[in-house]
Amino acid sequence: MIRFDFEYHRPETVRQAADVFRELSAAGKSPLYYGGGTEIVTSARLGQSEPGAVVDLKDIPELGVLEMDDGELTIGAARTLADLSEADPWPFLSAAAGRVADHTARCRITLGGNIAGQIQYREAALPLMLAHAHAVLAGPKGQREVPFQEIFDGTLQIGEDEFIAQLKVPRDELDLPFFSRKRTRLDWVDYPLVTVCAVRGEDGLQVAISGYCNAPFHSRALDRALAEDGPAADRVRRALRHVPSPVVSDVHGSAGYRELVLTTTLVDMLQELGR
Amino acid sequence: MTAVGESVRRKEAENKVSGAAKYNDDFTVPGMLYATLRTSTKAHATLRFVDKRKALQMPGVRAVLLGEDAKVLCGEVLADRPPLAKGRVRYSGEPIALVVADSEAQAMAAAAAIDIAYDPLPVVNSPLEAAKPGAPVIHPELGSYTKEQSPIYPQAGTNICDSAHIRKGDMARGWQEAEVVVEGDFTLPQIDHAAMETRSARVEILPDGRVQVFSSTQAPFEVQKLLSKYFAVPQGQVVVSTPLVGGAFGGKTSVNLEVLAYMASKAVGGRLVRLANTREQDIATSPVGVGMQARMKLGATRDGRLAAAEMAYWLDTGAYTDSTPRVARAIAANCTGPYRVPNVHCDVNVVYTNHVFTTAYRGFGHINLTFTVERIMEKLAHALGVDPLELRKRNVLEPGDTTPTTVRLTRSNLGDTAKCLERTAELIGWTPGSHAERIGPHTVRAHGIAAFWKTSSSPPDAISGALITMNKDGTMNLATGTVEFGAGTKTTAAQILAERMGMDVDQIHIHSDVNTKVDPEHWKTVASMSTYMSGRAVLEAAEDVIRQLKSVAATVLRCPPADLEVGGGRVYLRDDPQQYVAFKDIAHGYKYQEGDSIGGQVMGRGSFIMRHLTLLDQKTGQGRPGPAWTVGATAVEVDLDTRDFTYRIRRAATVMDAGKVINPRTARGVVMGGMNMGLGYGSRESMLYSDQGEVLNGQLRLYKLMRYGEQPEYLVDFVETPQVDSPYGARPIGEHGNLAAPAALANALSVAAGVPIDELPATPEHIWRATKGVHR
Repeated sequence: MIRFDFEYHRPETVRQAADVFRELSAAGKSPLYYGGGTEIVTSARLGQSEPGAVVDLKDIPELGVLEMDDGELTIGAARTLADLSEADPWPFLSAAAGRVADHTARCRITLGGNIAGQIQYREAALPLMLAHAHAVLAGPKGQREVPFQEIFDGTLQIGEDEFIAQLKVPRDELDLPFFSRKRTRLDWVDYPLVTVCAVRGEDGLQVAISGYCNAPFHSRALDRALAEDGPAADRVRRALRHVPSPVVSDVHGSAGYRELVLTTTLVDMLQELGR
Repeated sequence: MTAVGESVRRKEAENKVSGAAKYNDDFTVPGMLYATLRTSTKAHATLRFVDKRKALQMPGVRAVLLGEDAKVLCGEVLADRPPLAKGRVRYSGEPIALVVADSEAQAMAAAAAIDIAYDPLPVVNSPLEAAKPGAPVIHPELGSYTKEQSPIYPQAGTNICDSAHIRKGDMARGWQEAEVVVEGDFTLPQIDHAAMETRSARVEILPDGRVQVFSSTQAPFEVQKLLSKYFAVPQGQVVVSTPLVGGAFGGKTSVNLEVLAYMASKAVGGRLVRLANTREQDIATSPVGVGMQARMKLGATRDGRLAAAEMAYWLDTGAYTDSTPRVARAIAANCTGPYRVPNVHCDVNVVYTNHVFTTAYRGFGHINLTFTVERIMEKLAHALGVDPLELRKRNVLEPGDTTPTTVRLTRSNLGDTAKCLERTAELIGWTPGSHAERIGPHTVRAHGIAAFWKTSSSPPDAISGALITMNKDGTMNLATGTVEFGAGTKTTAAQILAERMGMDVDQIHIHSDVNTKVDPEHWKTVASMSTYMSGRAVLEAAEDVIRQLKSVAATVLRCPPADLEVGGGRVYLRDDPQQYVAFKDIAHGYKYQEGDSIGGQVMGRGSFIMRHLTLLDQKTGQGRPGPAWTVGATAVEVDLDTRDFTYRIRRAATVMDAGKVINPRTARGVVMGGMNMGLGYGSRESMLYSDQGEVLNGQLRLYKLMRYGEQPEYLVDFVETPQVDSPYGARPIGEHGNLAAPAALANALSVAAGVPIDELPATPEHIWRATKGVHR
C-alpha cells in the first residue's frame, strides 16, 4: 500500500494538463505526469518517491491516437505497449516494446511512460532513436514538434513541466529490415543484460543498445566500426571500443559477462541483417 | 466403490478457481487495528538509540513497541531470537519496532517516522567465514540461551550454534579399501519460499482471557503451544484458526508474526490487530530456506563400490536458529543419499551469519545433501570412467543394508531405488556414458540424473488425530488437524475414509480450516507426513465408526456384529447383502416403528503417534529418524549455447516409489510442482547479499522465479512398492519432486559445459565463470 496521500488529476485536454501541472508545481506539490503508473505506483509503495500529485494523461484524445496517413505514423504517447504490439503498425517497435516487463505490466505501461521513466532501460525508445522520428511535446507554453534525437540521448531531455503527447515516424521507415533482441540473466521476463536494436536503412546499419550502460545509447562510431570490412567477430570487437560509458555490473550480470553477451548478440545481428 | 487410486478433484478446487476461497488476510473486521514493522537497514549493528516519540504523536497511532517491551526470547529449538531487536540487529530486515494504528497507512507512516541510529559492527557474510576462529561473534550470549528442545549443542563464544555428527564403520579401513578418491566443494545459497500468499496473523485478546489467533501457518498447534509458553497463557485459552493457506513450502512453520501480533494486541487492550507481511518483508524479514557450504570426499574400489565417505557441512542459518538444528540432523541422518557406504564420517555445523534467519524449506535439508552427494557421484563416475547411471545402480541401498544412523532397511521402509533410476533414465532417453551431443553450430544437448531419498526427521512423539461425525443422511464429516496449503491433504484424508467405508468421496465432508479448539491435533503439516499420520488416524476413526454402526445394525438386523459388513452407505449381512440397514437410518440412532429409538449420533475418533523413532546420538548419530524412506530419481535434459552459456531446460523427469498412488492427478501435480521449484533453485533463485549483508534482491522484480511458460516438459511416473504400515501402502511424496532437480540440472550442465558446476544457482554467467576457472 502507498502510505501517503496524493492528489489525482485527470485532465481531458493538453491545455488543462499543462495548466493543472503548473498550478500544482506552484503550490509545491511536486507533481508528476502519469501514464500507466507502473513506475510511480511501485516506487511510491516502496517509499522511494513521494509525489504530492499526479496528472493522469490517459483521457487526453491526442495521446490516445494511433493513425497512419500518407507520410507518417502517429502514435499517442498514452498508448500502452501491449496495445502497440497488438495493433503492430511498426513491427520494429512491437518487437522492442514487446519485451518490456511482462504482459500484465505492458497492458499498463505507456510508450511515453517507458521513454520518460526513471528505470534506466527504456527499451521502447530504441527503435525511435534509430528512426527519423519526431516528438510532439506539450507544456505550459503550448505544443512543439522536435526531432526525437534532439530530446532523447538515453534519457529524456525536456522541461519538467512538459510531456510527450505524440510520436511520429516516417511511413517509409516502418518496414525497414530490423533486428531486436533482448538478452537477460536467464529469464524471459527480466531486466536486460543487453537489448540490441538495429535497423538497416538509408543511413546504413544503425544500432541502439539498452542495459549495457546506465542508459540506452546509439553511437555513430560504433555503427561505422560494425560496417567496416573483416570478419564479424573482429568488427564487433572494434565496435565495442565506442561504447560511450562504463559497462554496468549489478545483480543481473557483471560487466564482463555483459560484454560476452553483447558480442554474441552483435555477431548474430550482423549475420541476420548484413552490413 | 473405490476412492484410493482415483483422480478425485480436490475438495477446495471449485472455490479456489472461482476466487471464492478465503485466505487468512482476506478477512477484515470493523474496528480492527493495523500493525506494521519498522525493520533494520543494517545487517549487523548496535542500536545506539531508537526514538519513538515522534511516531507516537502521529495521527491514528495507538502504540509503538520496541525491543525492551518484550521479555521473551523465541525459537523452537534454541531461544535466541527477540521478537523485536534488543540493543543489536543481526540481519538487514530484522524487526526493530512495531507500530499499531487505526489504519495501515497511518501505521506505515509512523513506522517511517521512528528515529534509529546504528553503530555498525563487522558483518559475517558466509558460514565458512563465520565458523573461522576470530570471526566476529554474532551472539555473545550464546552460552546462556535456553535450550527449548533437545538435541541442541551450541558452542559458546563462537558462531557455531549447533552440530550433528555421523560416525559409522571404520574410516581407516574405508580409505584403505578406496582405490579411487574424489573430492569437491559445494555451495548453495539461501532461498526464499516465495509462496503466493504472504504471511499474516491477527490476534485478539478477549476480556475472558481467551487469545484468538488467526494465522496463515502450517503449524497452528505449534502457534498455540508457543504463545501459551511465551506469554504464560493456559494452552486452552489460546485458540488458533487457520483457513486455506496459499502455499507454504516450510516457510509457514516458523512462529513469529503471531508473537508480534499478540504483543500488539496486548498493547492496545486486547483489540483485534492485524499484521501482514508485504512481499518485501516476506522475503527479507520472515525466515528463508537454509544455504550451505559443504565439502565431501568419496572413495570407491576400482570396480565402483563405495567404500568411504567424509563430509562436512556449514549451514547458513542466518541470524537465528529457528528449526535449522533439526535440518542439520536430517542432513546427517541421510548424508550418503540412497547409497550403500559402509564407512561414514559426517559433521554438520549450524552457523550464524548476518543473513536472514532460516526455517524449514520444502525438502528439509535434502536438497542440500542430494546436491552434494549427487555431484560427487558424478565426479566419481568420471574418475572411474563408468556410466553415472550404472554407478548409481551398482551402489543403491537394498533391504538388509543399514542407513548412516544404522537403521536396518526393509523393502517396506525403503522402496525400490534401482527401479526408479531405470524408469527415469528411460523417460529422459538416457544414453550410457553421458556425453554432450552437438545439435547445432553453437548448441549442445546433455542429460543429467540424480537419485534421492528422504524420511520424515520428525519428533519421535509427533501426533495426529481424526474425528468423524455422521450427518442424519448417512454422510460423514471429517475433521483433521492438517492444514490445506495446496497439497490436497484434506482430500487425501477423505479418499482414505471413503475407501475404508466403501462410500463415494462426495459423501465425505471435510473441515477445510483448522481450529485448535475443535480439531484434533496434527503435529505440523510438514515433512510430507499427512497421508501417513493423518491417514492412520482416519483409518482408526473409521474403525470406531464401523464398530458403532455395526453395533446398532446388529440389534436392528438381529445378528451378531461380526456377521456384518459396511459399504455403499449400508451395513449388511456378509452372507446376504440384501439384508441391510442404511447409514441414514442409524447415523443419528435407529427409530423403531413405534417411535422408540436406540443408538445416537455416530462419532468416530482416531489417534496416531509415531512409533519406534528415536533421537540421534550426538556422537555417532545412531537413531531412527523416521518411519520409512521415499526414494526416487530425477533427470534433466538441457540445450546449452556454447558461446554465452545460456541454456534451456527442455525436459525433466521424476520417478519415485510412491508405495501406492492415492490420487494420480494430484500426485503428478505435486511432483511437477516440486521439480519446478527445484529447477528454479538450480537455475536462478537465491538470496543475494551485498558485502555489507544487505539483501540485494528483496522484491519479486529482482528475486527471479520461473514463470509459467518457461518450464520444461515434465514427465512423471511412479513405482509402487507398498509401505506396509502406511494407509493403503502410500509413501510420502509431497516434497520429493524438488530434492534431486537441482543436482540433476547441475549434472546435465556440467556435462554440457565440460566444467563442474558445484555452486547454485547455475546461471549462464556462473557457467561462464566456471569455464574460465573464475570463482564468484
